[in-house]
Parts: sequence; structure tokens; C-alpha cells
Amino acid sequence: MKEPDTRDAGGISPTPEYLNAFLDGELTAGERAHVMTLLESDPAFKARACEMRTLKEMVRGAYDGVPAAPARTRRPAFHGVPQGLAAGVLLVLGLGAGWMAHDFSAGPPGHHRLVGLPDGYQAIALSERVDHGKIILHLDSGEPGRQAQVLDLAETLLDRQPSARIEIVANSYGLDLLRADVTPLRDRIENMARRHANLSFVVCGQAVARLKRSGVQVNLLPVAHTAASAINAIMTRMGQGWVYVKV
Amino acid sequence: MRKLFSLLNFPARRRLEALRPRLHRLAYAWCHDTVLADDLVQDTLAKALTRSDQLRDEQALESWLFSILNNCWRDHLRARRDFLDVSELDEVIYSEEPGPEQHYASRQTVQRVRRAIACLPIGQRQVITLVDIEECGYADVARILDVPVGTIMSRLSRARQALKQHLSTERSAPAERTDGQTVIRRIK
Repeated sequence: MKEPDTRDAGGISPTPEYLNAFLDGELTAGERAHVMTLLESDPAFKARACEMRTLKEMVRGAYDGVPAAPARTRRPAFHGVPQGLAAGVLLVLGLGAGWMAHDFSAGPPGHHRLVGLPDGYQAIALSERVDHGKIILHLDSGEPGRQAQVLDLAETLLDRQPSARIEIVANSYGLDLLRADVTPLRDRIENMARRHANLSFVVCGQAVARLKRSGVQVNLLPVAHTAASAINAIMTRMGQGWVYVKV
Repeated sequence: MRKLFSLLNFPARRRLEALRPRLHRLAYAWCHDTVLADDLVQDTLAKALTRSDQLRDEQALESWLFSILNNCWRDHLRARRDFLDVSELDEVIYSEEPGPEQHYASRQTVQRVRRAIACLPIGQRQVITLVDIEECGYADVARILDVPVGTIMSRLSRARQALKQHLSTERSAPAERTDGQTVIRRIK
């Protein structure tokens, strides 16, 4: 602490600020020793110090068990809630990539240039060790236009880079793309899977479980693999250098 | 630097999830509203990603996030029509009806202390919670709140005196009833 104002030269007790600095560990060793001798010799000061220490502990203790916010759909949690997935991924990636950008002078946080990616899509990468030949396409919509779009995009990228590994990850309503009794694109998907050994289809296990819990029977296409959760699958892949594209 | 190194090597999601409870506790100590605290934490994390280039290596990630939380809290206060001048933070009190979680809090002491803290001006409330709950040093608090160290020390001193007084008078008198509204008022 700079320029301690103890005001104790004439036997007056230290100021409240000085006592606080003592209790909060802001004094130097010499100043602390000085206060310790005062505590020994001045019972009134000692009582004050004890009272303030108790107060400090009470404040600390008053927020030990802060109640969690009630569950809300508007602000979903990080994972497990489909609508929050994209935001969650972007949030995490933004920060992660920001660190990277800071350290390695890479491009703007998160964004990544992916050769062959049509306009309107944004590629995002987590680390500087990006493998352009490994791409995740994420679908969370059941809209027929989007369903066709994700397959179009996979084909475009595979035309450009036949050796690329592409994983289409479906969660939330995106699951419909890979549900045998619901998808309008079964033939096309199976055809693509036959032609491209390095194209895979992954569904979110949590989304499947949620549907089942609500009484829906879920029959997946034989080509679909199930991951424990979409966000974990995506984060793991991105940690390995995969590029992420939201469709 | 070691911290930065270890942060880079852990999955980003875990890093943020690990800090979320502490941010939530601090935000709650400032506003005593679980929903608002949750919003403030979300906003803080969202802002953190766009400003991550501002984070200097030697600066602790926690302090940096606390200062963003402080900005989010100020933004929230500014957005309220009846609160115009942030420089008056030290004279303004923010309080709300005790939430259900406070009615069910098992320890009376916790309720009493939280009530007393709710009566502190916002500036004092932020300082005392950063010092006592987060165990931040005075210099850290000064950086987080962007005010001089001397101001931190005087706010802390006034906050503790006020708490002491509040808690000793409350022992003999029942707590004042609140009107059920979140209230921001200036005290002169």
C-alpha cells in the first residue's frame, strides 16, 4: 500500500481505510507487523478489527449458494438445446479463435477462407492447424430447401476436392433429413453415400432421445451414425482442425 | 502466460463453463436478480468474443471478464430511463423485491447480509463484492471498474460502515417492506 496513513503516531487508532487494507491483504509485511502489534496493545482496535473481519466473512458467505437462473427457452444453455447450438458454437469459437488470432496473427476471429465454398456460406475454424480437406456441414432445419442445400453443398465441395472428408451433422429439426420415414431425399442420400466413401452422416443422439421421449418413433437411414451429442461431435472435430460450415 | 498456455490447451467450452458460475455469482451480488444475472453473464461472454483481441497476456482472464461484466451492468442501468448519469453510480441504489429463492434461503444471516448489501449504492456494492467475494486486490478492482484506487478504498470503507450499521440496527428492528418493484433512486 502506498503512503499508509495510520494516524496512530499520537496513539489514535488507524483509519478505517487502513484497517480495511490490513483485512484485505493490501499491506506490506512491515505494515502488517505494525498492525499486529497494535492489535496486541489496543483492545478497542482489536474489537473493531474482529468486527470488520466477521463482516467480510459474512459478505463472502452470503453468495456461496447463489440460485441458478430459472430455466428459460429464450436464452438456451450451451449444449443440449438445439436452438442454442449455433450460437453456442459461434460463441465458443469466437473466443477460441480470438485467442488464436491474438497469438498467431491469423485472420479475423473464427472466420476462415475455404476454397470452393459458394457465396453465402461462412466457414469457421477453431485453430491455426486447419485441415481444408475436413469439413463439417451442420444442419438444424427441417425445411426442404435447406435439406437439399446441405446435399448440394456437399456435392459442390466433393466435386472440387474429391478426397475431402465431409461430415453432415444433423440435429434439432435437421434430424428429419436422416429419418427414413420422413426424409424426402432418401434416394439421393443413399446414392451419394454409395458414390462417396468419405462422406458421412451423423445425427445428434440427444435430439433422437428427445423425440423418442415425446413418443415419436425414430427410424434412421442405415447410412446415419449417431453421436452422443451434435455439439460434442462438432467441437471434437473442430479441435482436430475440421472446418465448420452452418447451412 | 502459463494461464494463457493452459487455456489454449483446454476445450474452449470447458473454459467458459468453468468461469460462468463465478460470473453469475458476481452478477447476482450486484443485481440480486437471477434472471438479470443470467442475461448479464450471457452478454459478457458474447462481448468477450468480439473483444478478445483486447486481452493482454499478463492480465488475468477473470479480471478482464469482470470488467466486461461491469460494462454490461452499466449498459443495463443506462437503458433504464430513470438512470442517466453513470458517474453517479456511487449515489444510486438498486433494489428489488426479494425473489422466491431469498424467501427459501436456509440461513437467516445470508438474507440479512444480502438485504444490507441491496441497500448499498451500486458503486459501493460492486467494490465490496469484488473484494470480499472474488478476493480481488484493490488495484484489480480499480482496473475492473475503471476508477482510481483511492475511490475504491473510500467506497469500500463507506460500504463496510454502512453494512455494519445496517446489520446492527436490523437486529432490533424488523426489515422494511419493499413495494414489489425494482427501484433505482438517488440518495443525496
